[in-house]
Amino acid sequence: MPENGDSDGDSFVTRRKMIGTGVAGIGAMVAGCSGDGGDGGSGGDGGDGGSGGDGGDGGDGGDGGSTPTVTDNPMEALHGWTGGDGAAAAEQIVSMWEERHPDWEHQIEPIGGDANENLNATVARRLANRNPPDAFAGWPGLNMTQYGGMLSDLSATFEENDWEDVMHPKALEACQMNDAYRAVPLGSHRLNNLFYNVSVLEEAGVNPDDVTDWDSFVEARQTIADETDYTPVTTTTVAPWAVLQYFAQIMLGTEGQDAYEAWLNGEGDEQALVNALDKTQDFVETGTNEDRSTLSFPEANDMIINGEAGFFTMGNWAAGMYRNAEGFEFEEDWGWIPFPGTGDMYVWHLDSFMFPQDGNAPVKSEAFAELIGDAELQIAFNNLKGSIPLRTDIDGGELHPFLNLNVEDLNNLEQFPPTLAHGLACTPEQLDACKGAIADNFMGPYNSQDAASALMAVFE
Amino acid sequence: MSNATNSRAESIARVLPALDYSKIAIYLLVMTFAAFFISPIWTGLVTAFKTTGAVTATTPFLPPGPDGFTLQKWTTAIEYLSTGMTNSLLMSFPATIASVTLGSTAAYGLTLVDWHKRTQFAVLVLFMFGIFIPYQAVLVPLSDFWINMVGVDGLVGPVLGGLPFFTERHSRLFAVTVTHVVYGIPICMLLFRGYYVALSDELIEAAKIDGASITSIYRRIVLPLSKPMFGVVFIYQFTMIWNEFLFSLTLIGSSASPAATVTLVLSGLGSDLTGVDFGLRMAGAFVAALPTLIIYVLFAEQFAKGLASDN
Amino acid sequence: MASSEDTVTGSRSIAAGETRGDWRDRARRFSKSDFVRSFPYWFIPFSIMGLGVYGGIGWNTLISLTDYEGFQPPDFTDLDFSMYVQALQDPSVILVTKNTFVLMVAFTTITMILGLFLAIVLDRGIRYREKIQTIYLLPMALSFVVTAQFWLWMYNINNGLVNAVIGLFGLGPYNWIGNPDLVLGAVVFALIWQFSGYAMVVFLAGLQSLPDDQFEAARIDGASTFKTYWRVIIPQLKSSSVSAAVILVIFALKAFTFLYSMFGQYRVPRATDILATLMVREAFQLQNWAFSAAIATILLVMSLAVIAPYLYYQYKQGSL
Repeated sequence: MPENGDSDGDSFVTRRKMIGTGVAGIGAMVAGCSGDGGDGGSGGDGGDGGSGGDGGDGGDGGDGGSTPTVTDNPMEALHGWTGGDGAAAAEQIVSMWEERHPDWEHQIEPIGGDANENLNATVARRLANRNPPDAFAGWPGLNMTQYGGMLSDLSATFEENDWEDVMHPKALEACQMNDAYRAVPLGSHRLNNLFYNVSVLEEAGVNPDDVTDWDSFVEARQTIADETDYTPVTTTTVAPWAVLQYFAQIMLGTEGQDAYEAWLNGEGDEQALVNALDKTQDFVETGTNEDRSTLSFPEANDMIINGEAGFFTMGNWAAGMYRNAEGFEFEEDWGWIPFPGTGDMYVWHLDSFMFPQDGNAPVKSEAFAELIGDAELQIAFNNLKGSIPLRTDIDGGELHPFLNLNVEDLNNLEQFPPTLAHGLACTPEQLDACKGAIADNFMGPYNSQDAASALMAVFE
Repeated sequence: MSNATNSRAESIARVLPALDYSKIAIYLLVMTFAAFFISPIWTGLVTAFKTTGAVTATTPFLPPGPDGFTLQKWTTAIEYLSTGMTNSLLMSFPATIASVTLGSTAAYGLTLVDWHKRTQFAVLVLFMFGIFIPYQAVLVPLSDFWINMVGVDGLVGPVLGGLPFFTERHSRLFAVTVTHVVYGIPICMLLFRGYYVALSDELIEAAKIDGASITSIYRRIVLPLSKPMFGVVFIYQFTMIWNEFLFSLTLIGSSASPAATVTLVLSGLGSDLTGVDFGLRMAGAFVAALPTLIIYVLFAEQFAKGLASDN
Repeated sequence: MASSEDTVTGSRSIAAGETRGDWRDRARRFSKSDFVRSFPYWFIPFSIMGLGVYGGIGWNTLISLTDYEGFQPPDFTDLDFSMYVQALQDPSVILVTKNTFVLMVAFTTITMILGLFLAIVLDRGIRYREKIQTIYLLPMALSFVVTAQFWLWMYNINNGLVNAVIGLFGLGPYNWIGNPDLVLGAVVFALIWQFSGYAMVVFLAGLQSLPDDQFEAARIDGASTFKTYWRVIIPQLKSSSVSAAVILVIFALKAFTFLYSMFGQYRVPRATDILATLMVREAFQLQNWAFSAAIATILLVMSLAVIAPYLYYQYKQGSL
């Protein structure tokens, strides 16, 4: 059994890479092949001879230096949107691609799982195996740092399309790494939401506008419990990211953005974390569904749709489920308020597509990047996904009223704490360490003190 | 009990002190345990026919009333799992046939042919370890092997890509299939070996004296004689491969992949679909288990035999 | 290969009293010998299996000595035991090892006792024994992925059958999955459900192979039923017990699939985290390849500690 990873890796790497580097002759040859035979294998045969000169990191898909030739390889893009709303939104990407590039085969495919966990793992494995997809969905910001020098420089694409003028500055900032654009922003989810079922709250006599801070939330929760048989708050604690997210909202809502960011910068006050964790435990345990430890977030959210629960906090992708539910209308059946105590914040999350350097179809993936940044696509996608487009030149009337409300906040609010559980605020190692701190100390039994020290240690 | 076909167990019962009241207790016991073993399956079955409302409103092990009855969970589950079912069939049949065949020839070469006794024994021991090792010990090399070294994605894709149903992704299914063959050989070998050791020597000796070659002994004598054992091993191995999850997870990776096996697809039920309730989960579980359940109901005896000779 | 009709007896009889040095003749005879003729039969499967199992283990061990992680290929020039040192010092690895042992011991012991008990009951001239055996063995035919779904429903806090049943006795409801003190017990119980039918089949086969006169002799001595089993029958089931125990221990070490399916993710609740789940998570979620290879080696050593004595025992018994 061969034991030498690098040498036998090589032939495979080059085989893959050759197609991507755009050496004109080979590219043309591959392009000349008809249909089925053209990819992988036959490209590799042609490529072997020239592989000596290829070395190192190969060409960028997007830069203008060489003009890559169109290959027969399908454009492969991976994303994590498998659930109802996400799948419908992803379907928009597929149909628009097919409409604009009818002759270009594609594999735009979902990788299932909560909070991108399986998607990230799959992408990481593909990158590790030197067999990257042409594009993949992921969170930019600090999360992107893990991909280091493996992502294409998209600055030329940004320039050609004037994206610097029409994209939200926060998004532009998050998509840069090593002085170049490395990701195309697609949509932003807001994290600090408190969704409610209108009839449950009416029956309990709770006015959602009164729920502005932690104390009033506790009170409202109690009122629902006293006045009705409904579950005041539906939660999911099956995975640590959800608990981490609850903690982050509550920390922001009760201790403020400064305390939150001080912690992320390694200068946190442990007592502030303990206080927030105590409240998180209370949030998870008081007046919530008892089966929370076995429910995924869509299952927990179903309780709002089915009128069994009053409140639910989740990124606003949860609203995508409401939109897809029949006869469940914004403001009539469900409503939204910012998570208690975070009324002047937009807790910031960003979905984007990134483009590895060694993809198989560089020309097509550039076309895909352009599609992702396209206003029409951003409207269609985000309307279904329940996220908001990052283009600032979109007419509000084209968006769902709920999204419009978020767009206004995005444009007007001044506090943008980045999300922790979705990777903008931390590297993947830190995110995993945070999830570990929660999983080990704070998913029953709840130990605020230990969890706080563990969470402090992550950023120190 | 005084049946003419008195089994050995009955004779034991007769020899032991007759305790009539204990007989009743024993039957009660047997029934209680039957209920214990069947109840999760039964509960799942009735729940799969319940509407979302009835799932939470009714007693879990009672069948739904007319208002609470629905077949919708089944149609959803079948739709969701159908690709996975096809993939699993495409994987299980060739993998089972190959590992059973190779297991049989290995057992033949090691038991019915006498060559170097000690070497035969050493090889046998190496096979035995192969049955028991935890697959975790080979997972990292395995994924390295298929994905980095063989480059299975580019290798089989072009061949499969032209066929209907298949996609490029099915290269991974091919990798899982071959993996199952490799790690299925030891147990198949062991099952056959148990059978071949007990096989009567006379026929084979006679054939040898008649001048039959190793090959013709295998083809003309051993193969026909081991037909029932082929059935046992096939059923056992098919069930094992169909039910397996770890290789699918680590080599195919995503429950949403077009090459995902049915176990992999089922494991993603909670996060890949919205509106999942326990009715749907149960229907999904049954659909995924259907082939093994059918096999089990038809061939329970062979399955038990496979298990019992496992040690 | 199939057409050559060489004779086995022939090659044997010539073997004696040959003049030395006639290598041509010897080579011809060797090529016709049983060894060579049977070679393809066992060597092809053996080499495939050997490459997969032993090649895999060797490679895994090699990887565990590197610092292989993330997106870069492993560096095989710098080998050391740092991953093992890191693993043995990691408190979560120690906790996970402890969980592995608790699960293994509790599951194996209880399953064996229950299996033996059921085998004795079924051996006592029960009507429809085959049918009943079929029911007891049914869980064994199902995938862990499937049974995990069943038990998730069984343990549901509001509507699960388990809470409904213990509710009859005025207990509960308990949060079987959510409560960290209960969840490992709940998992072990579900595994016992799945495997005790198997243990029963093994013991039943053992019981049926005992000669009747054992019971006869015990009866003449005037021993009670209980004493007959305890003193005479059970001690003779040693071989069956060892076999069942080994298989169960191995299954317990591999309980990954059940846990993953029950919780739908790589990270299972801390109280149920075992080496098998830790290894897969470290490798396939976090890309800590070398570290996970080291964990896999620890798991392998634990398994070998059970298998090697077992095979030796079988060998001594002459049943290998």
